[in-house]
Amino acid sequence: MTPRRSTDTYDVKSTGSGSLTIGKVGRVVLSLFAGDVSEFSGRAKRWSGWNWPPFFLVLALGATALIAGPSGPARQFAWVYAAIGTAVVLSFCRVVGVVGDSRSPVPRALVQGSALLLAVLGLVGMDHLAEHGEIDVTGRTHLSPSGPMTRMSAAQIVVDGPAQRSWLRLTVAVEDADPLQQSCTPESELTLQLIGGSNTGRVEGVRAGTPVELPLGGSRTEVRVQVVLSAEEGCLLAVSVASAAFHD
Amino acid sequence: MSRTPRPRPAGRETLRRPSAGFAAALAVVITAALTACGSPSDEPRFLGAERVTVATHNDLPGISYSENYDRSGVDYLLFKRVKEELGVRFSEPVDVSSGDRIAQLEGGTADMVIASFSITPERMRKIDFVGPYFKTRQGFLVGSDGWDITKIEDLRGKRVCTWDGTTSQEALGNLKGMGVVVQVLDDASDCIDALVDGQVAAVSTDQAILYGFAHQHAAESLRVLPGLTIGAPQLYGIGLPKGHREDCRKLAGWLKEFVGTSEWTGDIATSLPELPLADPGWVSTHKPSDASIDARSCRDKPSP
Repeated sequence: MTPRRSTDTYDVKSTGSGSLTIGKVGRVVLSLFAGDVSEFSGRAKRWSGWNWPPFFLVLALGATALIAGPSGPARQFAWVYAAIGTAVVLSFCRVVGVVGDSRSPVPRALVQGSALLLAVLGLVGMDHLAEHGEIDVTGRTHLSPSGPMTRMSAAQIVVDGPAQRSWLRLTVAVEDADPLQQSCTPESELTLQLIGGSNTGRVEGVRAGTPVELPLGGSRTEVRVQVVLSAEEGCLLAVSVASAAFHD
Repeated sequence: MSRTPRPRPAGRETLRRPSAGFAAALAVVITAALTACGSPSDEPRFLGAERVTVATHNDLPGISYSENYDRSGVDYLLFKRVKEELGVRFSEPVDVSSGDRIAQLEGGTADMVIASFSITPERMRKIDFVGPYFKTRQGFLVGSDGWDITKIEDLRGKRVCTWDGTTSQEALGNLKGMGVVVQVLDDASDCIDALVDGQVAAVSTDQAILYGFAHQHAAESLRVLPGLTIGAPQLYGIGLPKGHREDCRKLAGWLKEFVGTSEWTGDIATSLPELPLADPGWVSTHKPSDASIDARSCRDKPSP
């Protein structure tokens, strides 16, 4: 093997039967794996410096919105995420000059302005959701007393902590407590009624898996819902909270 | 200039070329024969079978009973109704024990089970049901010396019999804390014999089954305790193997209609004459609703 050093390449030669010859190492490999990056970075150097501050502003607004975002069902944040994402994309397009070749400044201003507007909208939207958005409280509920229920027996669904919104959406699950011995769920129904407070909404004939909206009225330090089970005599049923959420 | 025909070799028969008409007829015959060999049978099928095998009990008078090869009971009459409705060929019913019903369906030994088969979510995971076709509750059958038993508490310290493979065992097991002694035997006749012999104070299972035994053993003064029931309602369904939902739904549609007819009422009253005597309003408490049938038929689990 006779290495010959050049500025950026190495030539390697080997002889003999079964020997492995390695080709040039250098720009060939770089062009295969990093050629696009080097070309991109070259073009990026030609972007105007004036495009970067608005982009960073949009990024900052979006990041603030995401950091300050409350917890809750993901579906209610869909439009906020869409606004922030669109703002970032538009602003980045402006940075890379996708909308930068025409002589008139109007298109560029429109794109940048739209991006800023969407970013602000996302931030405001997230703030609105923090104040009025839906709060999933399924993990904060429990049945008291716990254990299977029988015909006309009653229990309470308790939501730990104060009512943070004006409505409670409650979905109750009912299953046979002993699936080896009975089949009672199709004929079972529930009656749900809020306990205490100025508003004691009562809903009868609730089937398992059906969401029920209960008005919480004014502020409540606790939320309790009485559950009365209607089922065939002798049935033993396991009642639980499938989902619970506060909302306005 | 005409050709002189070539002389034929001596001793050789002349082979005449077959006519076009003969060849065409032969082709038609061959084609028809091949088609007949490959075409499916025109026999009606149900559950993928041209001949359906039904498994049923043979030791439950009034429900499903066999004596001298003569069958009777609610389940047997239902089998005849199903056979008439489906219009497919059925084998003679085969006997099945309570503990073997699911195994026979899963193993293919039986295509259908009509055997006081209670519908439960656990069983629905393994087989399909069409039903319910009858509702009943778990009750108690006592002998002539059971006159002092009128409520559950009167069974304290007494021996109560049921048999293996039924839903009755669990409900009775819940009474052990009250001092009730539960005895599980192999089958219904063992429990009835033990009751007649005085070895047990009561037999507990579905009231429908108990009414049948009470009628059969009227001479021994066996009686069903009125109003004394435990556990959840028992819903009888026709058991089918999974994988035949279209046929299952077809049968379920027929069952919903049948349950609303006077034939259903007549079959029950004929097979269990003690039931209308003990409970004149029995139809309203024992007839299943369409919603109940829809919620449990041809499903992997009951609808909520």
